[in-house]
Amino acid sequence: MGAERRLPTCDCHTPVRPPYCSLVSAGLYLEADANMPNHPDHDPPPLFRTWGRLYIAVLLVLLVMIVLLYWLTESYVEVRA
Amino acid sequence: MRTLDWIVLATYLGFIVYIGTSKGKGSQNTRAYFLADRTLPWWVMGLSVMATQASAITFIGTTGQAYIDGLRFVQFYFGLPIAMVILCATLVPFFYRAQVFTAYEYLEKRFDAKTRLLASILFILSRGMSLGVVMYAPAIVLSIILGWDIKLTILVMAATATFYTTVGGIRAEVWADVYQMYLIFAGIILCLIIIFLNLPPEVSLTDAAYLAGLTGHLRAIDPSINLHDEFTLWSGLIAGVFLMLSYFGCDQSQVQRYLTGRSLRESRLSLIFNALLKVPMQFLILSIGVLLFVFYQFEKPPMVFDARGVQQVQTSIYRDQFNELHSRYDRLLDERRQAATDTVAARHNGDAAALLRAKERYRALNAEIESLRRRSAELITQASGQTYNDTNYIFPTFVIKYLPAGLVGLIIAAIFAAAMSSMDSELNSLTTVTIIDIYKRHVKPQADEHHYLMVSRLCMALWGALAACFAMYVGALGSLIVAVNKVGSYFYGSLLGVFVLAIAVKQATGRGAFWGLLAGMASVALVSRYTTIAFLWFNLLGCGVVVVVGYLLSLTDPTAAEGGQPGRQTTATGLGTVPGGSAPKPESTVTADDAFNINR
Repeated sequence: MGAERRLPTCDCHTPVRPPYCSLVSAGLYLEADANMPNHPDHDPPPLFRTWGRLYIAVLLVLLVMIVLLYWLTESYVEVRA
Repeated sequence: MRTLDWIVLATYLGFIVYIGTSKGKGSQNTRAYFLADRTLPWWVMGLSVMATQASAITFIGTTGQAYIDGLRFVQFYFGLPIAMVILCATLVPFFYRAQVFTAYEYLEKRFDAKTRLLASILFILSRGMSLGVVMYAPAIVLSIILGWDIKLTILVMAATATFYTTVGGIRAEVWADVYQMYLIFAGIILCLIIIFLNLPPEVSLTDAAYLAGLTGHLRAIDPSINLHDEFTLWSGLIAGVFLMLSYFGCDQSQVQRYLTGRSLRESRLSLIFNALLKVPMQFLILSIGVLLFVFYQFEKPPMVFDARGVQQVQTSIYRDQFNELHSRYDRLLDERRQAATDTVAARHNGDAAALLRAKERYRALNAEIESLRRRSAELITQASGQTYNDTNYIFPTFVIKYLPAGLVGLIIAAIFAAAMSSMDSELNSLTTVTIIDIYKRHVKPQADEHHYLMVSRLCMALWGALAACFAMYVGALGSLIVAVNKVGSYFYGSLLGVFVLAIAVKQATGRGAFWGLLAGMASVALVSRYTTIAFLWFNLLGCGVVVVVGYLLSLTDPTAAEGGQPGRQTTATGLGTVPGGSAPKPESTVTADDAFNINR
């Protein structure tokens, strides 16, 4: 008998309730792993590739919103002058 | 309210109860009841997070505030996206991987039982009392609109929210929040469209913006540095970050939402969803108030929007003064309408000299009308002996007077939705903390899941009843409402400090965290008592004091020298339960070091 293959594990979902993540369903992962290396269900949306990029995008959106509101304010400050 | 409005309102209440009970049925254990088995997608959690934060006062108070003060309140939310990014990178992975039910449960894993207990009790006291205020504040306005007794209004809101939350737990509550949020969004968009359509035909959107801008209502950004003003760019971006970090990172009513995610990714995305949507949403709500202000340049607004104030002053010695103000106010309104019309016409004609004259007249009349409104509020305050503020009545007055049948019911239903979506989250979080952090941890640690589920439902119903009773009598307590709100602000920043100690200060010990938390709250209480610094800064102060005091005390703590405290692992009963039993799950316990490794 060969050595039993040890699967990496995942704690995305409970063992008793679907839906399991794609890797658990495919039999590639078990539940209850604290580390989850390279686990696609924990990745950000593909457009951003990393969470860091997504966070930067959010902060840039905030910056754009502030600039737009500042522009709105300044436009009317000019009107008042 | 006409028949059609009542039908719409009743349909909404029935639908929410149906959604709540149908989506939430079948919870077999506390994990399902409090965490929905951690199976929810990001958009459901995200909408629930938004719904929890958006109370009825956000809907009616914010529009009223924008009517008076313009868009500047939007700056209050600038810290939210930054806080969400920080939370996604730090606390959310900690909570998620620790498999906790409550934020405070993590404090025992990291520090000790007494720190967890203190945080839980502070949360229960603060939220328990504020739940009464959360019900009472919109109930006053709604009871006037609906013509109901205030106790009946509270009872309807409390009974509905408590029923579906008790039956279905968090799954019911979160799904009810989703539909309530849809209704709130629909209400916002409809209001904007209807107010715009009710403007005179010659007034375009840019004319409306021009008129609002002339009186400073479009001043959204104030870059001045002023510690005593809570609505500036810097207070929003700096102090606001700490407030939002505290609220979304340490308040169980919010933490519980993203603990229900089917994966860490979903939990993070739910917060990112809020980070992107919250500022635009607040901008739209404030825009309703600004458009309303423009609308009332061409229609006659009442001098005071809460009619009870008029009744009080009419039976007092200030009656003649008030009536004199009122007749002057009526005359000025006619003149202002003419000035606004002249301004728009001059703008269209491109007549610079006429525009200058018209807009100066328009500004002067607006200032005078505002001054009359302030003086009338002072008279009512003197007549009644209580501070008079009609901000919350401005929007409902418009809804009742100008909206067509059916839409009134829809907007009132949206206000109900906003009230109940906050209420149900608070009920759920209070019950979770009571059961998981107190009952299961200290009172009955060895019972089976069936018992905990039954006690949880009972506890939920009791919290609902208690909050409704408190709300019914909170009005008579007067200044206690202010005190309740203040307790919340003492608590938030300090609790954030404990979590910062937990995840960022390796040397921190339970003793340091416990006494640091108390020191933080005391410092905020002192600053609040003896200075006039805006409350937004309290969170930064409380957090800073807790971290400094906690760190210094930890250095003198003998247990730290023994290496027993930092990053400790606990297998105390009540932590990390798994479906089908209450057994401890030590393998899910995370240390500060582990989580940082995971983040990398």
